[in-house]
Amino acid sequence: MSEFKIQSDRVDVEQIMEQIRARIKDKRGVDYTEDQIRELAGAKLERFLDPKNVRSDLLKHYRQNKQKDAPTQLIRPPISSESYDVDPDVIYRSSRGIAGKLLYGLRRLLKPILKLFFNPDMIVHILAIQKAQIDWMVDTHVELSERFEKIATARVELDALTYEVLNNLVVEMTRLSIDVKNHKMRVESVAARLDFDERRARALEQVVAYRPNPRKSSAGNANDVKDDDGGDGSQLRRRRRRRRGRRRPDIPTTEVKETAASEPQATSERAGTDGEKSGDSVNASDGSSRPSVTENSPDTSEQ
Amino acid sequence: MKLAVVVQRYGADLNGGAELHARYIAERLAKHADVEVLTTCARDYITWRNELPPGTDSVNGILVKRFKVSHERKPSDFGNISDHVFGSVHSIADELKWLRSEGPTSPELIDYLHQHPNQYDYVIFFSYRYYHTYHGIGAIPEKAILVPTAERDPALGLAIFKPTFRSVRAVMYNSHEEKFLIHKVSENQHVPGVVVGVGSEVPDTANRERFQSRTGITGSFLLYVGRIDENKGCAEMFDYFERYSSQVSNKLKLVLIGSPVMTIPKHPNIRHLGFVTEEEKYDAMSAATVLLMPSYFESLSMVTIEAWAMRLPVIVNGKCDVLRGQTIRANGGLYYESYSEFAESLHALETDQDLRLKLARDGRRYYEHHYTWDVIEQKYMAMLDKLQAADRKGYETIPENRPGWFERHKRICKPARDIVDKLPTGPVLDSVKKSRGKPLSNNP
Repeated sequence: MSEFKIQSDRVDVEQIMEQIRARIKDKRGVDYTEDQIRELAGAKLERFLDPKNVRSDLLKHYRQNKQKDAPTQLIRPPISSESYDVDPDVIYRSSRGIAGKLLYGLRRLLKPILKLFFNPDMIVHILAIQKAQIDWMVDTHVELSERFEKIATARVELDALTYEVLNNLVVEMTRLSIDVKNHKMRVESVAARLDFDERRARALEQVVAYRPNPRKSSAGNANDVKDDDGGDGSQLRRRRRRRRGRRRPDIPTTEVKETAASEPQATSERAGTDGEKSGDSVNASDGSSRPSVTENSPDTSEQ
Repeated sequence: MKLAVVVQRYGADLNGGAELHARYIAERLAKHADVEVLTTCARDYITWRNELPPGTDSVNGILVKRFKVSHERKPSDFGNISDHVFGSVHSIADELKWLRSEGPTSPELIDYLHQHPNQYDYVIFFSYRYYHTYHGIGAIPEKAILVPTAERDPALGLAIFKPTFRSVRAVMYNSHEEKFLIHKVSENQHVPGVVVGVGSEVPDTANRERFQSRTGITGSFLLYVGRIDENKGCAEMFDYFERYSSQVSNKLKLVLIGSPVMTIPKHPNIRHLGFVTEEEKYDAMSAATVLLMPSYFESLSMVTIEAWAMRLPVIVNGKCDVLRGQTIRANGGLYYESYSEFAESLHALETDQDLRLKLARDGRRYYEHHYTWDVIEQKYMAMLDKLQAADRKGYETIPENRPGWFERHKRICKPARDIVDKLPTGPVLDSVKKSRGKPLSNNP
């Protein structure tokens, strides 16, 4: 955490808090409030984004839930309202056959006395209204149930599609995750190889730069050649140059130019020995061709 | 002038916020008027059990009249009725039932006020949410002065308190945020009101070395003073401090003063000193680096004011509007609303001595302008003089209509929590914006 310094003599708490918030924002990137963080945590996006956290038994759970969500049977009222009627006489009737008829007659006879205590017509009227209302409610209920059934069926179909999409997403995500892993490994491998090559190149450069004095070694070689062929070292150099000239006749490299400028005699010698046998040059190169880079080194150019 | 202070509990050894506030005010006003205290026999604020004898008593030279509580609080019943009135549509009768259930129910105290309406010139009621305040103000509204000690809690949204706030003669607010909330809830702008709070007097003899030799705590430390309670934000405080210790700085210690009602985590940098004397508390403040106040709900933090008086910068919970507003107005500390802000603010205070000194200087200046006892007494006396002048001119009370039986039983009151949740949040900083670049005045 960096140090916090107030420059002026006067402090302003709100200003300091703004600076603190800005610093937090810089560190964190986005200035989320605690509530926003909680909201994000609550969403558990990782579960969907990270294939490792997706349940492997998703299909099983899905099937179980599907069974639980099986659409329920349509609920209908146990008694149809059409089986009874509410008319002004309904409260006086009886269902006991002849006795019932007698009872009905008696009740009708005593109706005026009954009316002294309460108003049966009003009861019948209210019952009739209630029946109408119940009929309407039953109709509405049936209609809503049918609508719900349709929605539930559609939802089941939609769930199947959702599951398929989710499943495909998970599969694709897993595949992508594996691909990413493979690519990562490949990048690492390439990086390792590159690193190795770089180190090797550096090592080779160092070997060249700090090689012991090549004049001595070339002299030694010349002596060897002299012992073998009875010739001298200058002849060896001539042969080597000839070989290089023959290998790349059409590429006037800088090295060659530099050599030509510094050693005009050698160039004329090369021109004069063009007609020599290739077998000689091959023999000469056998003894000194390996350190061909040595020719480009500063020591060689000085010769 | 004869004054009465009415409060739920009273005693020299009672350290609840409103009770201590009431005692300080009674003792200070006793220099200017004849003061009596009317209270209950309870000592425990959870049960309101009658523990002290009824009748007259004397506490630090103040006459105290104690009245019996008719029934103890049943926490389960109170919890149920609280859930009902805070969370669902209810009636005034339900709210009155809640008030009785909350307690301390002392009809004797209310009867006393009814029977002696002319015994006192003015009666100062503490804490709007209790039985004695609601019914006491109902008994003598023309003499009632209210010290609401209101916080942003669901009780503020109960319909029964609207006439309470509107019918009193004056309101002595603890903070600008409290005043704003009460204005919003009850529309009582017509009632004379002033932001007063409570004064603080710190000793000159506080000694840092004495604290260090007594406790063995040296080096910089964060100080918490108060009840160690989850409701006071202590769980969050421990969490944040442990994270800060492990991630930012391991040098800072946390020293706790107060009785615990929750488990204190075992941490090498947390030290609990328990309940200490006033002298020890001020010694700790003189040795501390920063005072931490993690509470979410405060109507006025006396400890914060004491810290400023002791030239100690504070770090407070910014989610508490009152604490945040006070800190901004005082320029006496920093605040936090998340761990990141806590860590950055605390680190700034820990590492930057210059910042600490400047905040401490401004905090002290704020205390001197607003919270010395002279200032508090002046504000009270100015209000009392104003009321007396109005009385001499023939002040007439406009009675607030209390609902009848049918009105009381209509389920028309919205859930109290919904009402409070809809109230605007944030500190009241109008006065700060106005006074930027100007010297602090006596009237914030």
